[in-house]
Amino acid sequence: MDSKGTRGREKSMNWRVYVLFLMLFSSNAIAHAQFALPPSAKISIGKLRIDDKARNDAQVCSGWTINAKQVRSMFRTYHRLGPGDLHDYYTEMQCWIDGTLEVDGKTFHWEAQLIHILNTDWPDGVDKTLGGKYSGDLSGQ
Amino acid sequence: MLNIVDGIIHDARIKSTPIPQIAHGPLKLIDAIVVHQTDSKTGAGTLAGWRTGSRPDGAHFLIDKDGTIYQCVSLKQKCWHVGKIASRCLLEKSCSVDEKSYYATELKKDRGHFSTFVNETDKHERKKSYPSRFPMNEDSIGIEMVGMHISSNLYETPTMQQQDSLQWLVGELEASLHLTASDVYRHPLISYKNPGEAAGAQWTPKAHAGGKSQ
Repeated sequence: MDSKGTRGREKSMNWRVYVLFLMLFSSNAIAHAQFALPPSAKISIGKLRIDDKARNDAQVCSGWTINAKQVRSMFRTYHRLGPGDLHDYYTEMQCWIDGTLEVDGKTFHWEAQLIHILNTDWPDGVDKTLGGKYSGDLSGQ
Repeated sequence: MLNIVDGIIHDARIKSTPIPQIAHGPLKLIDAIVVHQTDSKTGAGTLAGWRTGSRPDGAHFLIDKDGTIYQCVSLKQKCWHVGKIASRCLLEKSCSVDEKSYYATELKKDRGHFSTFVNETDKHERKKSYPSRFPMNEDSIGIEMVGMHISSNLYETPTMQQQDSLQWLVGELEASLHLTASDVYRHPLISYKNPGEAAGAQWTPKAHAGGKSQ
């Protein structure tokens, strides 16, 4: 009896863990996918712009290029940043590549900044900042 | 001169508000002061955020919009407020031949790998002693001023009350900790951060850019 009861509880626990994992995974995936571009989006990519008054960023940024596939990947995987996130978690080089998106006859703007930062008004016309993998937390470690 | 007991300042102008969640072990020496802005609307919000422990970053002092100064961490404890440091000699164009060669090689090697370059620079600079390098978490204290990030190169201008408090606090800390005006830095000068952060902060009666390099 005890053994069956334990197995039953284990099975039930396994299911709960599975469902919890699935919920966490899918909510994460949905959160990240909310800015994904439709396949029909036309992407234009501008030139690299560097503020050479800033530190030695010009030396570091020179030669930075991105292609349409990388732009799509940024929109697909980056998440929206809140107040303090840029300051606390990202390296902010003074160089940018900007461009536009055309979706269903509407034009939106985007501006990628090193490292792993993306400013855009897609998909609702409201300016927002998205971020990828943390590139500069303050621990210094 | 400030009355400092075990790293805590006893002064009517400073509210002692200990927040252990943002203290990260012993701070063995203080070479410099780093001035920041929070990217937050209110001091209360920043203090509440620090208390949750969800963000380990923070600073020893916080100056609110009305000029209230909070001391949140003892001067004997480290805060995470600087992050990875940039190369001082590259910025000031004062690198030795060896250093120039090191960075030329790194820039070539890490081309397109921006995080790697930032990490390698930090690792390399940490081997130097201050002031040959910029200050780090391990040898500096941080002062945060409440203020919002506006754009990729702009932060809110600090209020007059904040400027008064910053000027008083920096002056007192310099005198008490045997630091000079050249030991006070704006965060984005020493690390790769938004150049607008603390750009409007003034801690000397005359407009002073801070740091030897500005």
